[in-house]
Amino acid sequence: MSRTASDLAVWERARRGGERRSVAVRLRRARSAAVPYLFVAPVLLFLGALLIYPVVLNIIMSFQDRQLGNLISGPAKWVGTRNYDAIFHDPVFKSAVVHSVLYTVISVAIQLVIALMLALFYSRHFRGARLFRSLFLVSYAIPIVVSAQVFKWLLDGRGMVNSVLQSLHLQDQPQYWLADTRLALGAVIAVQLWLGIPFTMVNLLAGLSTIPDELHEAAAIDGANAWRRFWDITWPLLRPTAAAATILSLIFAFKNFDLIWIATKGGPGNATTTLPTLAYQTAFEQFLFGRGAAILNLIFAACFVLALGYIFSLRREERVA
Amino acid sequence: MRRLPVSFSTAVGFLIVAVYLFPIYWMVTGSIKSQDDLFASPPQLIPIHPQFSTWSQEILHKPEVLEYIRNTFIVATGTMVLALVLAAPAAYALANFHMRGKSLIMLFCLSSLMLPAIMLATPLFVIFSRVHLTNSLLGLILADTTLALPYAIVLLRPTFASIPKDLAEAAQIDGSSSFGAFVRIVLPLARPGLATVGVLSFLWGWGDLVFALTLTSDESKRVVTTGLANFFGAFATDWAGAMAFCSLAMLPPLLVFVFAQRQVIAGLTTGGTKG
Repeated sequence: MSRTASDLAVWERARRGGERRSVAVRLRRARSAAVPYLFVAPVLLFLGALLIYPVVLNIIMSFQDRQLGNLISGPAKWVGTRNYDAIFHDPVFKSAVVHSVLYTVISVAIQLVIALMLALFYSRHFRGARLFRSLFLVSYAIPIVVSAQVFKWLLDGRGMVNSVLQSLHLQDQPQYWLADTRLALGAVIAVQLWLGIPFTMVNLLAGLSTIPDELHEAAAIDGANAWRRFWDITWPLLRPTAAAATILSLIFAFKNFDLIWIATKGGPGNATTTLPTLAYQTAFEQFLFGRGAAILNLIFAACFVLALGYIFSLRREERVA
Repeated sequence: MRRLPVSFSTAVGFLIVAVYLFPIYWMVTGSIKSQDDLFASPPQLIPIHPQFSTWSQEILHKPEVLEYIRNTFIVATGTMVLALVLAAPAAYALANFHMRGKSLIMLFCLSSLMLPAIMLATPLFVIFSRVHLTNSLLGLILADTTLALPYAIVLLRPTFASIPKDLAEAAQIDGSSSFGAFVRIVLPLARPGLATVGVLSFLWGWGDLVFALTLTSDESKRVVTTGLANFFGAFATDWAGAMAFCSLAMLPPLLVFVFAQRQVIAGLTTGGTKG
């Protein structure tokens, strides 16, 4: 941030004001004890009405029989845990859990390795490194819906991926990557990987930039090779950043509805149904809002556990730093 | 590690970026290819017969597409403004004032970062139906702001904490109210943080699919994401048209990114995931 002339004028006024600070200020402070709450009140009202109340309403609805007829108004029958029982006995729910876990864990694990290699490569000083680094983020700026649509074309039967693989003689028949029950989950995992790499990479680059070059130079003089320097210097210092970025990536992948909805709508069959798409379909296509709410609460619980992990890793990072 | 020749690293670095961004290149070039060239084998890396008939037919002569863009602009800009207006004073207070429940509010904001949009979609549909906010752009702005706000507060609090407290106090001695001092003295100094929040909330409002899908159904309230989701009929696959639409939907966020890269990067390294 550059200091402009007006900023300097503000500083100057502040300095003079500081000298004049007196009883008057203390009086004013006492009177303004309520002020902080007025600053925060709009946000609390807003989030109370549109975030906390919906979360509570979701919990209530998950114990009710809510369908289209009684969704907005009208009496709702309390059904105890019947929505949850129905979910747990539903084979589609079980496969959605499996898909969500595979989708999240596999994409984030590979993403971490690739992003780490890219971050190590682009953290070095060479012409164009800064430009290339920020170019990766283009994929973050554009809507997921757009990326998903483009990959849908690339992975189409007549798409680019097939023609490349066929011209390299890696396959003789075109594969319907997103329409084949055996391939679809792997294909959307690959796209999720593409979506997630820039986020992890930028965070790792930020972490790498805080590691002083002198450490590497000193180790090099002592005869440590690049491999040893990575494991003994870079990785231990990078680990808190990597941990925080990984947890955020897990959440990002776990809750990604847009990609799967555009690419496959959970299909073919239920081959790519994950918890978010199942919740959407249950509530907005089958109009079983109570049961949909129950699935959402389970998603919420999973995200909450991950969120606690994130906050925990932040605390640890602060203590280390 | 730095002994590699500079030009070699640059070449490899460029190649990796080129491969990574290839899908976007393929999308833009696909929108100016004829149906034959689109499926040419071997694939046509550089469009040999560029033609803009897809753009004129699918985009420029379809008033509804331009309406999607207009609606999305309203939603994204509204989200940006509302998030800033609500979050800035709160983040300032949380950074500078002594108050009860401060850490509880921060913890609440941090954990709300993880909330999936789909989690709020069902209850918001119920609530908005009762107060007639479904099928309205205002409803979409409110929904998008709900998820932009916690993030805005988490990001803005350190920005305000880094501005010396004396500044606002001095202004108050000169006769300003706390709020006046905040608006006139503190806000201008917080510009970099405000810009980051503004850019990221705009991108989030622009790209949201979940709320648009669940809270609006009228054709007249459609935004680019729902427009794209409904682009294909049951069986027709007009890929050139889809790629033209995608390119158009990408353009505003891309421009924002080009002019505000630093803000995007700053936002990404403070916990900004989307969706």
